[in-house]
Amino acid sequence: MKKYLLPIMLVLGTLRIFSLDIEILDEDLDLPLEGARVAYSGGEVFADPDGKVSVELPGGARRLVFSLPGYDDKTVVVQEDRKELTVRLRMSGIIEGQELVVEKAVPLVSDSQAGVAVAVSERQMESTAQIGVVEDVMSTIKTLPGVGYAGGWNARPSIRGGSPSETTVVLDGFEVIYPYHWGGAFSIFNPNMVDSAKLSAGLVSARYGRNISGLLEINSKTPDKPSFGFEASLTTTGTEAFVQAPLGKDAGLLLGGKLTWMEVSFALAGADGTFNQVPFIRDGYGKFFWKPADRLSFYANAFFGSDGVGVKIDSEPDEDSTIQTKGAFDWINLTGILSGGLKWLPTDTLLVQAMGGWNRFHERPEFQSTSSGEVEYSQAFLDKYDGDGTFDLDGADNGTINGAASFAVDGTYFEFLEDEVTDIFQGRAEAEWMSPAGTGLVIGGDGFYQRSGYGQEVDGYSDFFQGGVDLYTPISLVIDTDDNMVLNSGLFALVEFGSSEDAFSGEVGVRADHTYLWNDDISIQTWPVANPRLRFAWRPVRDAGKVRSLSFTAGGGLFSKLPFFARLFEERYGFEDFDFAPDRAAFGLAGTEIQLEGGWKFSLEGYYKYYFRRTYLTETPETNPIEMEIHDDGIGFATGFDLMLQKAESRWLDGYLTYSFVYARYKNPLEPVKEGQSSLIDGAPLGEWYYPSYHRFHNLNLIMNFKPASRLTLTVKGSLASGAPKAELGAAEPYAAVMRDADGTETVIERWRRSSTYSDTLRNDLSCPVDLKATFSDYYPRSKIRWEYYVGLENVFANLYTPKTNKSMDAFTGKDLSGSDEADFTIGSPVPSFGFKLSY
Amino acid sequence: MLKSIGAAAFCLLLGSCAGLPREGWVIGGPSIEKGIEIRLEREADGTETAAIRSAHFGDGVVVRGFVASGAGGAGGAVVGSGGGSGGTGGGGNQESFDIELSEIRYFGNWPRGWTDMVLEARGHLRLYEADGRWNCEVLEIPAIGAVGSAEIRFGDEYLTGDRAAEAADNRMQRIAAAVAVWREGNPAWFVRAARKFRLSKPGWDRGFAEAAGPFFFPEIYGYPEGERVRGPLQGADGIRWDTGYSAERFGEGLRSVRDSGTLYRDWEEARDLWYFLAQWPFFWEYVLPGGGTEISAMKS
Repeated sequence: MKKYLLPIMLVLGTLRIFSLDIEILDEDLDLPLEGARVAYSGGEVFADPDGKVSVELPGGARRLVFSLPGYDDKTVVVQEDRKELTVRLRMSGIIEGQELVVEKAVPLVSDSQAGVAVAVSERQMESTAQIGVVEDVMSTIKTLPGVGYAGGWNARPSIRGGSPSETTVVLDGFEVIYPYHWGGAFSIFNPNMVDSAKLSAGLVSARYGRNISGLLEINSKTPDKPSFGFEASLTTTGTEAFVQAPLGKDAGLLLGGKLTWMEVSFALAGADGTFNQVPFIRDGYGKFFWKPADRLSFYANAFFGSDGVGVKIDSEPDEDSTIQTKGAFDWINLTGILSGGLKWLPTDTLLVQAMGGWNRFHERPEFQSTSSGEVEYSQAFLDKYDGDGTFDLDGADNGTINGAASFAVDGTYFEFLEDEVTDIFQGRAEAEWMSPAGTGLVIGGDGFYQRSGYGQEVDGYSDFFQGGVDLYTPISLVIDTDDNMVLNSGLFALVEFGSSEDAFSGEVGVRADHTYLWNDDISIQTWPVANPRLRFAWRPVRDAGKVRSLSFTAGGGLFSKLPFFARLFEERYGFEDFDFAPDRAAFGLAGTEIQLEGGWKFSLEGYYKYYFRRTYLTETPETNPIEMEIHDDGIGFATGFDLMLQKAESRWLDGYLTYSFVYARYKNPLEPVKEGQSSLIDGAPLGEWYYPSYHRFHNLNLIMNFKPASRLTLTVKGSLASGAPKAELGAAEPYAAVMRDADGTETVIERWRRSSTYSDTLRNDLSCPVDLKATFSDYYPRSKIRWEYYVGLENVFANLYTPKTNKSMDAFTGKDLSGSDEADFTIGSPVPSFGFKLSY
Repeated sequence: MLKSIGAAAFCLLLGSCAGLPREGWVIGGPSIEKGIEIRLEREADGTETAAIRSAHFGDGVVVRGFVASGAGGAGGAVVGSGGGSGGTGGGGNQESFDIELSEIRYFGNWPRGWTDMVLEARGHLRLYEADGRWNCEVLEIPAIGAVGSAEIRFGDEYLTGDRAAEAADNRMQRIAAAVAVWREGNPAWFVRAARKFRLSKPGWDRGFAEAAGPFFFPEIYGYPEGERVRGPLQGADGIRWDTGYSAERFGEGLRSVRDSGTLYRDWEEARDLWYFLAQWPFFWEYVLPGGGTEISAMKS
């Protein structure tokens, strides 16, 4: 068939023909290589005894692949005006050295680009992600340079001083809106389904929009192996199984799932009575891969995940409080993903990629409680109000308020219900054309359609100041934004030049993003925003002495992302066309990386990011129901530097050390209309510069794997982070509030408050968790079945030290709540975990 | 797909009961008297194949071939027409089977991975019965060819296709080159080793390592008696290699792979392959066709 291709092209007259004389020689000996194969689009030829061959090629740039058994393949791109070509092949055979070791290079290491991205392979994740209550890829990501310390039970770290919500996460190129379990405690990305993860901590290619603070690319395993395989594990909290099977010669299927069974753990801890539903995660995942031709491949992903918990609330009166509260908190979260894509090489110089899919996120937390009991007026309260004639109407200093020594809170209640369903359909396509000089030109576009239904109902007793009086009365908040639609569309074009092997490389590109929001009542759109981006890398030293390479990187660009609450738009906020715009920031970076012999690598990067448009929410004061206001005049900046010292995997020891210094300041220009007023959601102050709540100046991580024996790996994972901002608390003071029931009955009750104001100087204690893990693994004799046991201990020193923050206060008594001052999530003691895994 | 053919399948246990009077080499003892198995099977398409296993090769090696037409004896085709009588082995019928070797299947693992590969092989054997005893004649000394296909797992990574075959072939060639150096300098060792170590039992690995390790990797196993570090030392893969020792003992090609730690990884991850390659010519030339070899046949 191939022999007919060339004549057909000639008849069509669409291509010119040029002739090329080729000589193929042994690189070391300069001897002609008879029989060497020259493959090109449309055919192949073989060298004669003199190592020579002539080939006629269609016009334009052509890629030729030279091969000969015993020699390394070599690819050469020739241009049309080329008449002669001499190619030297290097022997690949015996005794050539380290590169011939039967070991694959660290996967995706080529995807790690100095100044752009850090990639971690599944193997690298073994020590840091496969430990703990829930094995999570994010446990590894949280140790990378540029990633702020997030503590346990939080899979949403800050990237280079940005808000966690500004980071975009993609699974095989598909953007997942909320890839988390248990409210963000863990991600949905199970280490057993992930082949690699790559974090671009700021300088993201123009290919990707909708991000301001980093892009996390999760690459799932591809079921392209020719034989059956499985992985199964049993840990203290759950079980997982993944099966991979070939479907014929060109296709494969990966199926797996995860199921927690924490009932046992809680029962052993005697805490099973705390739950109506013990916390659970139930995930299922499947991936189909099909490669019908060398130049064409398809994939499809399916993920369904659920998590939830049901907590009983049943507080009995104790020494701290005489109030009894009963209720429940129930949480259910469902995530669905269906996506697919293709990669096609129609010619040697053109690559076409496309993908699309659907993602649903459904979260429904519900809380309800009722309280009862008598609270005695405290002496401090009586000293202040007894007989004041305002609240104590009898005017007598008699140790009572209106004749009573106590008040009842029977019948007070609080109810909260949130129900959010978001469906996303997205598509993306791009084409990359490689020029004769090896420069790539990429053009493409993407569309992101989001349909959200969001409802929130709050009803219950709460402190409320109205008409000069402190009230304790039922208030309500209702948000109902069914069928809010958002359409993001983007176009991008970029030029890539050079590669990691060249002295100069980089990317120049631009993307334009447009947003359209509508529902039954409103229809608004934004001006398209242009996001130009530039990255340039220079590698002046390569293979010089003990230095494998030395490179410098610089770049910058503009980034934009619609704030996550934009999908809650309603007519009442008063926005019209072009009034609203996505959050935007400018980012610049400069860095260097040096790779040394022995697998050592050191990188240092400094950056500056300026937010010139940032959205925040406030509530209207003294209105019931509460009304929200949206402001888009927020500004801010983040600057700092990251360093990483890495020792590649070796016989005895490997690991890495990362340090990130972050200085991030934001400002919400709106002046507060009342003391202590702050923005909604994050509680940030108004009218002044502030450090965001997740900010930490210093973030240090150390990962070390010791291998004293071939079957044993000892892992130490330690972090050291300075504290996050802490509010400045005033002295607790009692005050009189009027408890106004729904029927209008009013009772003077004792409430306590203390001022809590933003502080630029106060910080929580530093965090310094240390995790240990011992892993034993081997293969069963003469089999492909691998077994592994591991024993892990998280937060080893939890009994000795836990970072502290401000304590919470009981608003009825003014007493601090015991155990409420933990700055990081902890159960107060080290968390052991055990696991057994089998894989084939 | 291979299909066992029941009564017509043979499991032949070959044993050596006599010394090999060649250049003073003497073979004997319990370690090599048993453990050689030739299994004849018929595939679905009727092709008759042979699978040879031996403790001398290690548990992970199967030498495969096909059964050519019978020669020399009265049996003709071994399987099928002569199957019944052949199965009785030593029952008085004069039969012979010609076996053309075609490939070697190897599987080996180590704590972090495994290698599954098929090597090309060529060789010609004749199995014949005479005077109630089975004998084996090596008509063409079997030779090992290149790696035809391979699959490799290292950690959680898989290598397949050409890449795996190339990597496996590289390893084969490195080990073969190293083993050749040692065998030339230590011809009698294999005889002693064969006596001393039971290859199919736990412990052979340690014995082999104790014997060959100091020669290839004195930095790990200690220098042979009377020898010392030559220097200079070169660090690679966590070990400081004695480049002077390399220069003294090995050719130019092997020096670099030893001093880079590559050869030691071959040793760690495929020690059975070292032994297999070391034993291979020794086995065909001296063990199997040894004069007076007594072969008994047993129906599987």
